[in-house]
Amino acid sequence: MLLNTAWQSLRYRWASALLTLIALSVSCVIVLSVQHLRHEIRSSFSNSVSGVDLVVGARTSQLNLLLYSVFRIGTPSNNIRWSTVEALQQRPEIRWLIPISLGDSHRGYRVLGTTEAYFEHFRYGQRQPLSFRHGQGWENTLDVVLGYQVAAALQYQVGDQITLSHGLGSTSFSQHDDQPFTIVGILEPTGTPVDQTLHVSLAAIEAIHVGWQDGVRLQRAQLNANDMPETWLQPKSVTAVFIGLNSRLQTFQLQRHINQSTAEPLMAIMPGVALSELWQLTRWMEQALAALAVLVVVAALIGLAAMLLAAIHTRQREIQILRTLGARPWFVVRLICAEALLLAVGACVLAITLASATLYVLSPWLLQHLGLAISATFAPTLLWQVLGVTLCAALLISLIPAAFAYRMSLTR
Amino acid sequence: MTLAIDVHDVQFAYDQQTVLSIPAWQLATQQRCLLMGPSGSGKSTLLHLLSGMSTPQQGRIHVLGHDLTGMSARQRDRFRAQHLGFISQHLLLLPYLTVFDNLRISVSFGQQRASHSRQALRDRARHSLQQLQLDPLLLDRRADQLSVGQQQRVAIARAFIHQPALIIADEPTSALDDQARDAFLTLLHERLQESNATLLMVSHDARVRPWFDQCVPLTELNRAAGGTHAA
Repeated sequence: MLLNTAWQSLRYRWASALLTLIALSVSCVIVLSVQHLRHEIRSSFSNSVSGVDLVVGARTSQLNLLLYSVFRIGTPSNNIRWSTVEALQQRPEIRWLIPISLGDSHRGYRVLGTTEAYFEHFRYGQRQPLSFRHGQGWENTLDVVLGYQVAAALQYQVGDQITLSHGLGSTSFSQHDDQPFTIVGILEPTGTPVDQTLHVSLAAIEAIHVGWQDGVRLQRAQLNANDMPETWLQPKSVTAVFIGLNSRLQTFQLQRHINQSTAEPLMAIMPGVALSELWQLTRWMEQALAALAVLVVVAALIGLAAMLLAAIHTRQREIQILRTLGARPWFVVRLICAEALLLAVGACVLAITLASATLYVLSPWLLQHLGLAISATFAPTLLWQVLGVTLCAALLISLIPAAFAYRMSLTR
Repeated sequence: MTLAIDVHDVQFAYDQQTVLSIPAWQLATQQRCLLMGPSGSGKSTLLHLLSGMSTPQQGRIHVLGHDLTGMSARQRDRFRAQHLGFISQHLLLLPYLTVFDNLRISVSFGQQRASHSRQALRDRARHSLQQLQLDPLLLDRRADQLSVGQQQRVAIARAFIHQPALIIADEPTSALDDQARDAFLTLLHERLQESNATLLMVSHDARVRPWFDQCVPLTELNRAAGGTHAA
């Protein structure tokens, strides 16, 4: 009876109730989106690298090294000599080592030169290994394995031939068109930068740069890379190295050793530590966004209270009727609170539906253009939090109009 | 003969000014009593006291054998919901509820749990609409879509729906023309006849006098010296 009465009362005031509902749901959408995006961006970043104990690169800031090696954001500052990589490989604490070489691209997507160890040891998300959706790994020097998104966006299939560009950017003038690559494999989607990457062997990186010096082609290669002698294809340097250790306890020791190396200015970072440095940097912005979202909700809630309060003054007679029928003042209070709660529940349901629909439409676009894997479903805990906080806040703020109604319902 | 109303030595002051002072007043059951008095003579104060919406600073009030002055506010609200029927010119129906929900909410305040099945209540509501010469189809119409005359008759139906022993009517005819007033009182008395309820009606309109067993001028009852607008 109470709920029905509250519902009919709101329907009777449908115009102001609807406006209040919309204001509340818009504010809930904002809170939901801010919190969800924050969470998803963080997990998208931390999912990008899993099980890597150290990233080694040329000396720069640890954030910069992390961004260009793992997220392909920015440009590498300097390379590591291959002899250094080989020396590292000999160290007993190292279980596996993945060298990576960046600097070329294909229609805006980055090309990553690496070794078989990449497919074997690289992990993303919760230590999930990479797996092939179509095809398999390289057999010849000029074979390329595509990330899922590259293949999907450019509509490539196994067996297609592509050429790489020197440098970054989708309209590079320097094409490695003398050495066409064959697509031999396409990886499963990972929701990480791997999806946006073309993977070739380090030998292939050397092969397409035969005849090049300092980024300029001096002469066309006379030989197809698959026929080049082994010595030509020996890598001379790489951009960075991912390292997995036998025991995590050795991480600090090896990190110090690498950081203090005098042979070459090197730097080793722990991805988790560098990431938390990134979060430190972005934290004030996140907090500002969250604070703004909260303020929007507070404004909407005050609107709710104002709407109910304005109604109270026109409902004096209604309250008197209820009282003469034997309603307790407490019933009147509950009626006002029930109206606020109904609006809040409605607003939450509407907000969750709206936000889910928006995400559903937006998340493929985000993945394709920004490489951000934003899940289209909200974490249940986030939903419960938003629902719980909105309902509690609506209940609390409705006590203001309810108090007026209570005073009105006491005779004299 | 049992008493519907028994007031003894009641004093009620508002803002330190005595509004109501009744040494003694009794009303037997099944009587139809007209309480006459100009506005400001303490009529609504008396009705609030008799229905338990306020309590006197002094004295005892028994209604239908229950001592209102000894009850908690909660008990008085429940008593009102169970045993009293209210009709007022100003307090008709909740505009946003259907006619049926207006009747239903009135019944619900008197119940601990919903003891009536919805269907039984609907049958009863339909029956009482028919008795008041209203189309039973109006049950599912929203109250604000009814004419004022229809609303008034539904208000009578609501006052009787829970079979109260005392009906309190507060100036129910003050806005009606002669014809409508007579029609209203006829319907009211038919319903009273059937339910054996007692009627206490407040009015300042002497023309309704013939419908009542007794007429009590409030100025006689109320000894409060400062009846601010005492005629």
